[in-house]
Amino acid sequence: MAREMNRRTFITNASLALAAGIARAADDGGESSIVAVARNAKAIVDPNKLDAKIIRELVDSAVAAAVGEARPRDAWRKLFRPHDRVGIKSNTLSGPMLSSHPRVAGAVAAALRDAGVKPGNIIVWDRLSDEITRAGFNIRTKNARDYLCMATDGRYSRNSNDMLEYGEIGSFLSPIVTRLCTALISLPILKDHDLAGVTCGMKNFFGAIHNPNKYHFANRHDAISDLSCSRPIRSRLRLTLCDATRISYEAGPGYKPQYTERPGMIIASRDPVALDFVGWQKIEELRAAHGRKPLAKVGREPKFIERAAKKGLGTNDPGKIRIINI
Amino acid sequence: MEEGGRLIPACMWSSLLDERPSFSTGDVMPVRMSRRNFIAACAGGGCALPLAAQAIGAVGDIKRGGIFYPDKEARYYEKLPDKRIECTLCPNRCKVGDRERGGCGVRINREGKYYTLVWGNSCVGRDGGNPAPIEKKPLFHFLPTTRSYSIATAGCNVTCKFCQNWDISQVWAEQTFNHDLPPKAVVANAKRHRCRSIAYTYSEPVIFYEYMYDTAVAGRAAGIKSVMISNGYIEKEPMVELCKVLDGVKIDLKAFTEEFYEKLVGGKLGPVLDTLVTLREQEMWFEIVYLVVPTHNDDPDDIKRMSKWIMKELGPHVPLHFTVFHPTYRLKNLPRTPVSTVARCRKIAMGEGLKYVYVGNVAAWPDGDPGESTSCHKCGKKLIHRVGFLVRSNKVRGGKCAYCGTKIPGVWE
Repeated sequence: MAREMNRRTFITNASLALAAGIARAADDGGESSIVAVARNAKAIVDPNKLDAKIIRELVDSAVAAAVGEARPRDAWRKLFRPHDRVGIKSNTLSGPMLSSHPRVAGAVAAALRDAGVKPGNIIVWDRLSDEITRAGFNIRTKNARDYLCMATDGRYSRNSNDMLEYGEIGSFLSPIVTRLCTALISLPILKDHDLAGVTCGMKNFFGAIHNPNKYHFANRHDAISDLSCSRPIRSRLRLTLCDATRISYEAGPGYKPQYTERPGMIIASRDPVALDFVGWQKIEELRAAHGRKPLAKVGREPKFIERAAKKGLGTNDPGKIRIINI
Repeated sequence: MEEGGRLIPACMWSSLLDERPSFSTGDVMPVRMSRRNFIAACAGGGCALPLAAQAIGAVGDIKRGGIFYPDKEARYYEKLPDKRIECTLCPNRCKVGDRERGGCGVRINREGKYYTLVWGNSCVGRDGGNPAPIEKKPLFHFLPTTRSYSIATAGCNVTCKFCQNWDISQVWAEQTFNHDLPPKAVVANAKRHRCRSIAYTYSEPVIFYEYMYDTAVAGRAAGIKSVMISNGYIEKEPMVELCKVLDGVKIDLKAFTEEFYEKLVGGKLGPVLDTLVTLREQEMWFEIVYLVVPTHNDDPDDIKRMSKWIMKELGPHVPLHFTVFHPTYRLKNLPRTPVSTVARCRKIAMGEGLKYVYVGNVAAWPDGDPGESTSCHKCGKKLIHRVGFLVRSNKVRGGKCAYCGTKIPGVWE
């Protein structure tokens, strides 16, 4: 059956095809990492309300471009199999105004369902029930029509033999990672962080361990990169999809309205290092636009990005990162 | 950790993962029961009911699980711009952003105000505490043979790789099974268990400072003493304030090198030494414990340097305990400390002039190790004969040697 196409759909499809072509070309080169940035300011309806339809379009177009497929469904199918149990790690520390938005998580879950993943095998999660509830999610651990939603709370192992020991990390991983999920999507928010410099895809996994505060002192950058490079995370992480509909460029990680912009942006990449690098640059652009010093000048350069790159998790070389703006 | 382990249906999440009770979601999976299991459960329940009722009656009406009193404002912090704060309680001096926690994991910044999440949230024992021999702390010169009602909360301000209580010290308050136990209830429990003192112990009492302080005040009003079992990682001002309500302190001096503190403790040596000097200045009774970790802090030269420092800065009468390390937590690759090693450490310290040097965790049954007992520093006669935590005989009379009348340093009444 022929489907009627309006101007918006035509432009979206055309840009996706172009992006896919570019992505394929990059894939053929075998060296570039693709970071897709989809943006539509109309996605923001009011300070904390997103347009579900536009968000879905942004998510689909970003993922399609990042994977190098013309059709979003093909991109999602390339990343996830129908039998996968997919954990979507949200970041809900900062309350409703600066957390991974339920509409974005809902769009990701819908895309996964369209790709054949069952609702009961899609898990949106974070560390604490209180935090994820406060961010606007509803906890549900069974009988979901769209996706499951849960938090680790106190359910870490009590046996030190289960501890993840890798580099600077000595922590229990959430059993949602180790016992429930076969695949992970990191769904961070993009924000400034008073200690790490930037919170994005890699730092998001501090919500997957039982003692993140223990790494807020020395060697925190090593700890962030080590955690993302550890086998349980690395082997499961298939996609980082950053909810940059709102970006905090100063005084994070808590929500500060005066330092928060709302560009209506979704950033996607299969390379967590490249995505964090691009996210960092976005924050630097906003800082510069508002007369703030670069993070390096205030002693908060996110060094974990470079360290993760050195460990081979991805690339932070601008020459090897292909940014596709949609 | 098992990689890509057995897959579990998501709907069974709560029932399979609740090795300890869940507090927050309350999502309990109903279990289908066979007829045989039903009958067995009824029979078991019938037997257990009177015992359970007795137990409940014994410990009173206890509320457990979750965080009680989450809105108790913390002491010792300074407000910074943009709703950030700087915690001034311990030498970590954490600068904590809004919605973040300090390094201890149990103090949280909400909208620029700093809160303790553990006030009134003891997480040990059947009723929130354990009545334990004071010798177990160890405090050898503090009301010997008495029991101390021992409480603790989640959290710690250092990260010792050899922590024997890591499952409460290295976690958040959300991850422990807490009892609703405000200070007055602690004192009431201590009285019921006939304890002469309350011990703030197991994890790190510095991080539950407000709870400890308020309990010590309530305890003093009821005639019950308070002892802090600590790593000594605390700033001077709160320590001085605390000395007004405490009766005794035990400090874990974990090593005498900065390298050890940096690598295995996640802290610094200097502030701990400062705390010891503060305790001496405040005339607080205190004892020192040195856990001897093989190959890391058992160098005789370090023991000698430490003993000299104690002699010079604290005096010869500070009890010093060398205790045996057991492989645990993140330091399982090491053997248990040989008893001969702690005995050698004791000999070195006594050679430097320290008068009350002990060994601990040596399990020398049935007569005990000579290093477990207390002898008069003047006449040399054995005053307190100990075997582990058990006191076989006590010849200290009114704080004096029963043989020569010399005053023995400590808290005896």
